[in-house]
Amino acid sequence: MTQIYLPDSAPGQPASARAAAPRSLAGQRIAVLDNGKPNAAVVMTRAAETLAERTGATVSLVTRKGPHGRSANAAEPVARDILERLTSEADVVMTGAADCGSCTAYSVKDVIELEESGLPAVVVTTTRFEPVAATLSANFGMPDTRRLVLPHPLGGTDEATLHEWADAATDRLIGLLTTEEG
Amino acid sequence: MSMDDRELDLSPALDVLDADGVSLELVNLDGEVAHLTMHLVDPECADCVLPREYLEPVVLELLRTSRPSLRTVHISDPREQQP
Repeated sequence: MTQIYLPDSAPGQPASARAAAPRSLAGQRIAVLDNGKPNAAVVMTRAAETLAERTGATVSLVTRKGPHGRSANAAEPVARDILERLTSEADVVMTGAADCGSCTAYSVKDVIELEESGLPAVVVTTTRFEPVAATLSANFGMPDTRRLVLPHPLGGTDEATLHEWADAATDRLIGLLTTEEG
Repeated sequence: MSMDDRELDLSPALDVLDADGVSLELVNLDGEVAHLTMHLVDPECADCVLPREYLEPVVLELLRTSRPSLRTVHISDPREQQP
């Protein structure tokens, strides 16, 4: 049988590799990169603090993604000065929230840039937007981005529930950010 | 429901896009090429919606869950028609 391929799709990005993950998070510095979406900082900061307490890491930086960390536009890439701070002040990064279309696109772009800079980085998304994050990761050239999937929505959810979700994510974060088993 | 609606189930994409205040309408299905129109149901959320060049491959992947043979999606985006 002859197969005919139609060469009419847009060329994809060449695949790039993730940064090497540490064996464990003991002694590692965790940064939280907030895109300003409602409750993003609440859930990610709690997740980072719980992760640090459990593993012996420290939370070294919590910042918004705009210039000087003073503001954040979820539909723009991380500011250059913040990217430089992350690469000098952190060993691993958690960013998001990827819980709308544009913020998912730019959060995925941010984690790819961080990974290419040598920092293992997790994008925090939700059940509703995980398929979007997966498709964009592939389209942007890193199909295996590290994705932490939380329930949807984050915005409008009370703080106690967000803390429960964050605490429950610790094992998954260890799995995403290290080569440690279990 | 039109014939095209029965031929192409938009619900896998609508479930996701609804969270951004977006709806999609099938204009026509030309073989395995779908032409869609996007409607901004909640105009205040226009910044949340993916730019069209990112939205089209995402919608294509979502629609392929119910129609794996679908090859291309073209979306008419009202944001590109604003002055």
